[in-house]
Amino acid sequence: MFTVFLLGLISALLVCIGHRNLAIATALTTTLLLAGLLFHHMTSKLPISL
Amino acid sequence: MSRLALSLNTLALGLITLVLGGAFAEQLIMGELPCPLCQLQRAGLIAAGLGFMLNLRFGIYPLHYGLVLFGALVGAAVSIRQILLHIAPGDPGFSQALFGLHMYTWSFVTFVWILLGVAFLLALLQPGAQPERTRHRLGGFVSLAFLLMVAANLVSTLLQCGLTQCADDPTGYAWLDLALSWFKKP
Repeated sequence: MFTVFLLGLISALLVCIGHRNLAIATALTTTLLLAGLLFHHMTSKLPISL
Repeated sequence: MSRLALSLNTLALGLITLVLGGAFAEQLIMGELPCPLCQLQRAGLIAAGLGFMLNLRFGIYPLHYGLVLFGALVGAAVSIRQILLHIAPGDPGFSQALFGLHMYTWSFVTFVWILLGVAFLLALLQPGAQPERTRHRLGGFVSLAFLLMVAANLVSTLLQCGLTQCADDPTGYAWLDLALSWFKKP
């Protein structure tokens, strides 16, 4: 669960220091991870824990 | 027009930061610890806020609005999931209601407002206009506040759940209790 917040923090820090492309990539990864966690919550099909 | 769009982006990021702050207020003052779905909704707000933060830092790009939309859509999906889990007649819902609606319903309303707001902001975009990187002191302050809120959410999640699965009905802070038990040892 903490990984989605960690990725969000990394993305926000990258925005602050000026790395636009990396920030966009991590922001996108954050949202994709969030979608994956929602999918897991609904189906419990992924080998992870929330 | 560019100044209006920047101001609205600052307002949007500020409101998202306030909503995240409100969630913390409910957690720390009223003792309502966030469930896993609640935390995912906070993450959805953060994902949406990152797009506005990118606009304030690098200038307004449609791609940044796309990130906001993506984050808000996934966040709305999480809210709908939690609404549907408690929609059966007689279900008391999860946690306390605020003005008759539970927090996950208010969360869905917030995401819908974000989607509508971005639709309006996209209408303000002028085709062919070059994004301006303007120094915006208030935007910098709001971005810093948002960054601190994201960090606070990370710390809160680690204290509550540690590195393992979060409890469906949380009652305490796992890492905080562990640390206190170490200090209390004779």
